[in-house]
Amino acid sequence: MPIGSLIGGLLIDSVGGTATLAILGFGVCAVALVFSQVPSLKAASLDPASSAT
Amino acid sequence: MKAPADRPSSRIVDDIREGVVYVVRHPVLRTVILLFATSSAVLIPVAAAMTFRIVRDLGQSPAAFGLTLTGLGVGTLVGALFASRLSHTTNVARVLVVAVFLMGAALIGSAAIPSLPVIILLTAVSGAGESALVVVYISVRAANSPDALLGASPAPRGSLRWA
Repeated sequence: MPIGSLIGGLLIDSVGGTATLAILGFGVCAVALVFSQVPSLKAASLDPASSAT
Repeated sequence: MKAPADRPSSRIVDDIREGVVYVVRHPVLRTVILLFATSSAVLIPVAAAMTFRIVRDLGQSPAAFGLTLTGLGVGTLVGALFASRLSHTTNVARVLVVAVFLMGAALIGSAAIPSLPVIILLTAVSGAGESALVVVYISVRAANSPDALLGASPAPRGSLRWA
């Protein structure tokens, strides 16, 4: 959290709130895209019986 | 769910280590916790950035920021209601990825569209994604952790996020 806050503060100071929002948005989308390719995520289930160990 | 009364006492450091080792060796928990911790860490500065976006860049009053928080609250409720309807057969990976992607897309839209009503709506969408992510994440964690480790398995996520 301190690192995220520090980076957010630096971004706001340097490029402003609007650009920071856009950067964070693209960052979150990138996280989603990267994890969508992780095979072990596809094995995730709400059913304890099918959990992979 | 109740801890057994005759459970031998242990040191908290050992409990945390046990939880971390369990998560590291469990591919699903490891990935889901990493996804949640990463997206949470990236989202931490959003409130501050949104304040500057609305008050400084768009010249709106601080009350307008309060309206976006209202939108966030409404969206959070909607997302939680949606998540409560998910079943054991739900494609968890799809829900998690879509929820995270929705939050990111809503942020990009909020930065690109200079309209307060649209920003409020997009903030609601982001809130819906966030609450769906949290509910599904906690459900997956509970479903994949033995009862004895339910308290310890969140430790890696907390450590990553708060770092």
